[in-house]
Amino acid sequence: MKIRYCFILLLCVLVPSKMKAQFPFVRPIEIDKTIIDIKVQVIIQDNQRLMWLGTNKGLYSYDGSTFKITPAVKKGDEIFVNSLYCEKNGTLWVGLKSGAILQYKNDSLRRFEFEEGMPKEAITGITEDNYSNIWFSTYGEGLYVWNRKHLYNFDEADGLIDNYVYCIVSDNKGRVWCGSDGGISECSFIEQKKQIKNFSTQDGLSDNIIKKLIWDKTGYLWFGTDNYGIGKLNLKTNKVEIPQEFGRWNKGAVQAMLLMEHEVWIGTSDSGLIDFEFSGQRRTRNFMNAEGFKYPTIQCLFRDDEGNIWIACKDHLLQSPGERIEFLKTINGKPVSTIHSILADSKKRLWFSDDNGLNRLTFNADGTDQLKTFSIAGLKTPFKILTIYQDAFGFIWFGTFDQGCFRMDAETGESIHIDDKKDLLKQSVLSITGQRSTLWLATLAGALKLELGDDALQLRCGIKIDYYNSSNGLNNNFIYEVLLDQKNRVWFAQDGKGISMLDKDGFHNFGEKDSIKAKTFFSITQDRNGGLWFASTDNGLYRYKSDNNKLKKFTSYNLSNGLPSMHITDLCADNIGNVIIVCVEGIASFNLDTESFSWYQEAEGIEFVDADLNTTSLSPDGIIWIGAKNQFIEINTTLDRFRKTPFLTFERATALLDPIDLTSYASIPGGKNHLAFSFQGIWFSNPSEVNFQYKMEGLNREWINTRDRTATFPDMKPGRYTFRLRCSRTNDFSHSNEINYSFVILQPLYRQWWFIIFSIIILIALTWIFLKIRDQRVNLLQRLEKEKLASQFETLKNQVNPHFLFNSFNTLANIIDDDKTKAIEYIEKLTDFFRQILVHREKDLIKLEEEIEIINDYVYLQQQRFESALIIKMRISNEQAQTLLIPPLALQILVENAIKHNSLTSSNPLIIEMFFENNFFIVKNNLQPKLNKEPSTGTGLQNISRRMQMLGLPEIEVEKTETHFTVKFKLAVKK
Amino acid sequence: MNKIISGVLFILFCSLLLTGFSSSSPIYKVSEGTIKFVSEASFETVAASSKKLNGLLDTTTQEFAFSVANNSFEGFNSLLQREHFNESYLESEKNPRSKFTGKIIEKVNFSKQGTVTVRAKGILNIHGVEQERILKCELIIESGAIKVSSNFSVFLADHEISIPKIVYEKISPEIKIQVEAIMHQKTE
Repeated sequence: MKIRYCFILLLCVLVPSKMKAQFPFVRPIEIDKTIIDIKVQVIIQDNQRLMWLGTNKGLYSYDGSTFKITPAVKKGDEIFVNSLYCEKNGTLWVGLKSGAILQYKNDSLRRFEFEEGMPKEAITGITEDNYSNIWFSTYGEGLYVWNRKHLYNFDEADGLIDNYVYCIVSDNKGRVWCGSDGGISECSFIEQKKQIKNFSTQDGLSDNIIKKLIWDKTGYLWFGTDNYGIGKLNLKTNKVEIPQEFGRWNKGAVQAMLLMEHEVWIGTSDSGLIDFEFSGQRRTRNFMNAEGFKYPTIQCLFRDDEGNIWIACKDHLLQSPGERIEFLKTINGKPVSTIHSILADSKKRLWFSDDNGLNRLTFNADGTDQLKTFSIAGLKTPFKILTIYQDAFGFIWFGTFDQGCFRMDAETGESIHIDDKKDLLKQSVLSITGQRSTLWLATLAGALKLELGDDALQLRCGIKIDYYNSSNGLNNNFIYEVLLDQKNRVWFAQDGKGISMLDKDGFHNFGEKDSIKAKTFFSITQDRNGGLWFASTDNGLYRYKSDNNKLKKFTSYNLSNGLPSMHITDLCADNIGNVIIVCVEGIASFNLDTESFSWYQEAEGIEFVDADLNTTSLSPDGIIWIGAKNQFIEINTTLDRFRKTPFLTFERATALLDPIDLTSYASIPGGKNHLAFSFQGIWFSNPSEVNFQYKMEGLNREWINTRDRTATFPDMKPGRYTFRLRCSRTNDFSHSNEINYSFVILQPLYRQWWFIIFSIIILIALTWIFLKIRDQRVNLLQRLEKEKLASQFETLKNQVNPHFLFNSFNTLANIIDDDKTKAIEYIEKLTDFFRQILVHREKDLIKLEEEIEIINDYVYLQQQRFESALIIKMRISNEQAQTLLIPPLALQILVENAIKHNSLTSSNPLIIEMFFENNFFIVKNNLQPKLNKEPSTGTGLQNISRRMQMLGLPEIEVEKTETHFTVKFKLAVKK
Repeated sequence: MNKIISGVLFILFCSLLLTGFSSSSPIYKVSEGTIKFVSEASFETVAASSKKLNGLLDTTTQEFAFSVANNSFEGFNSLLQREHFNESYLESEKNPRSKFTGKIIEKVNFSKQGTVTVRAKGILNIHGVEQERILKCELIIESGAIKVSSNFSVFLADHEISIPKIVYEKISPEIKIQVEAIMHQKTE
């Protein structure tokens, strides 16, 4: 192990000077602190822009802020992910080392089972062809293809070159290529017909073991080998092309490849990351030299839709903005000092001035950087070169502080000091610009227009000079920069006096009257569309758009409308519609298409630029070079065709914890009016810079700014709402895209019209029923009262019946002589009888006992008259007599009736029986009707019956046979 | 001279010994086999089976071949059904046998007794139409014998077996097939 590291270190020491030295920024990303030894095997990005990382410890998803591990299908299942693939419909396929295949769909991971059985070897790759067949490559069983019905196998028996397959890719023609231990196989599966074509070393491959394949969309298949680096297969001619740089490869197996526009990044097994530029200068560079990249084993490489490059090393995950921004911090091993001026010349050489003087850096095709420092005749130390310019004839001009300007042969370094016989030799030349043979110099004594003579191809050519200063139209003599625009107008950035412009009509000055607050301008640039940009020292940026020669107003940009910083040091427009704004704290860019600013910052490796004023240069190949403190920054906007804004999606929404389906319009019940939304603004480049703004249309009047990824709305009133959400990388939301969700919160149940009407109806019905019942009750009571009165009246009427009284008195008269004591007893009984009637007549019910007492008295009175002709048989137990209740005088009436309607003789006595049978109280007498019938009113029985009924007792039953008269009734039980 | 003779004898002995050891041939043959199919349609379930399953398995190359005579299927719901099966659907006169030939995908250690699940990849020929299939099988390896069982399904359309519209509800488009076989080592 140690030896290997020593070897690598040695390599690092030996190789650097041979290699391109500018590198992009890289930063480490921590996946899971709680698990050690996570090794990322594969990285992909799904349709929702989420990153998925297949590792030896499971499947992780990453939204820019947190890594989430996907729970295993069964607890304890080992998930060693070897391959991942995301279908167009969002289904995620996961191939495991064990041969198992999982599917991630609708937020859950499940085991996928083929009817044909599962592979037993590691799934090394998954892809989909044009016919929507899903292909799996395995390490040992060849390929499998699933036509969504059956699974088919491609192996050596079918002609596959080897069963041990490392990788699989598909093209847009339904073909699939796999790299195996035997070479490359081209396979297709059309209408269940297998076609295989193999490529091996015999066909020109450099190595049989093909570990990585990339289809480049233009007809080349790039391959990475185990031992011989990379190569490409021309799919039209089937010819193999091996770049000459890979003839002597000694960097180990190619484990990962990432194809970019001009270069291919190669992840190796033991020499780290290597970059090969295949178009243009064909340079290679070894990232082992670069800060942060020093990991020898690269497992996989992936580029997301923002252009970030993800690099999985053995135990580390790195993220890099890639070659869009690169840094040159050392030249031939020596650190870069402070850069005062910079120029990328027509031969893409980099001219710059530092404290040592004027330098020329040549990037040689063989990968070496050649630095030449020029000593300039006539330049006295100390000196400072402020600006460098190349004229149309290839000569280099540079302006100095206090020592005028020079013209120099770009190749030989021979130079002349420009002398105007005035004081140019002692002047400070701050900027030089020009067109063809015309040059403009910005000095602290106004602007100079230099017209080169016909001999301009000579170093020493004739020069005619015109002077422009405050004496002939300019506002001010302190000119920081002159710009010659596409319409041949000359613009002057001045100190303290705003902007001036010279066209064929003469000078135009722009200041307060054009709502320009700033006084001092030091940098001008012209964008692709001809718009002009001016940087001020303290008031931000001004933009001047002119169309059809009509003068338009200046637009001001400052912190309030998206400009990220007010500390601008230079402006530089590229040819494709960007304006790069170099600031002290970082670098901003304005895109003309989106009309918005974006900000390169820490996440892209730009920490603190703090460059000198006006130190940018646009190279002929479109690269913007910025000379800063101790570094050159190289911004390649031509490669920047990636997503620029965070990808905004709703994660979930809930109404009182119940999830809402965001794909359809929702009607939310009034009782669930507590809403919560969670959302994501996926921006891997710098997740922390994402700002959100939301507005609940119908509730909020203003947009609400937040950095949280949730918004909650408690207790929302019924109504229609639209939740609008947007996000931005800056505080400017005017150009950000928006997503929204409309819904309605229904009236709560108790406020729905139908519920109210229903309730009212129910209420009315209930009241009506209540009144009805009460009415009935009152009626009943009244009737009861009436019956009672009637009964009392009847009884009284009966008792004061003169017959009864006559009979009684008659009886009394009969016995009063014979037996005085008996007569007294008779009178007592009679009195007792009447008293009891008076006592009980008011009551609804009396005890049976009490009624029996009345009967006894009554019978006694009657027996004195009828003697043995009347027999009463009572079979009532004491308990019954005490517990049961009876309407008063009911029995008395029955007995009286019996006596009244029957003939009583000693030979045929009237026998009245009272007893209980089956819970019925029965009064029974033998029937021997009188010959001369007494008129029957029938009121007695009726009266009893009605009273029973009203007291809630069953009606009495009357049974009349030839021999007997029976009355049956139920008695109430004493409570 | 003696040495030569003894040498020759030794070689003979060795070769005898070797043939003696290698007499356990790598070829296994079906000694008892049943193949059964079930069609579960909404109106009728049709099932039939044949005991005339033939088959060979080479344990060294892992190649196999199984076949069954189409007209050996019995157990239909009616004689007419059997006639239809042979004449209209499988056209047994033209295509007398259904076959499955191929190779086992995973490496199987046939000297180790026990149960293994393997995938047999091969060409399934039914109704004269060849289809490549992978069939999941269970092998119970015993000394000198292998029990094979497999369940799989066949789509009639895959083998160009067309069903008249009238009997759509009586015959399922997907036929379930069950194979059970005991294979013994070939002695010759």
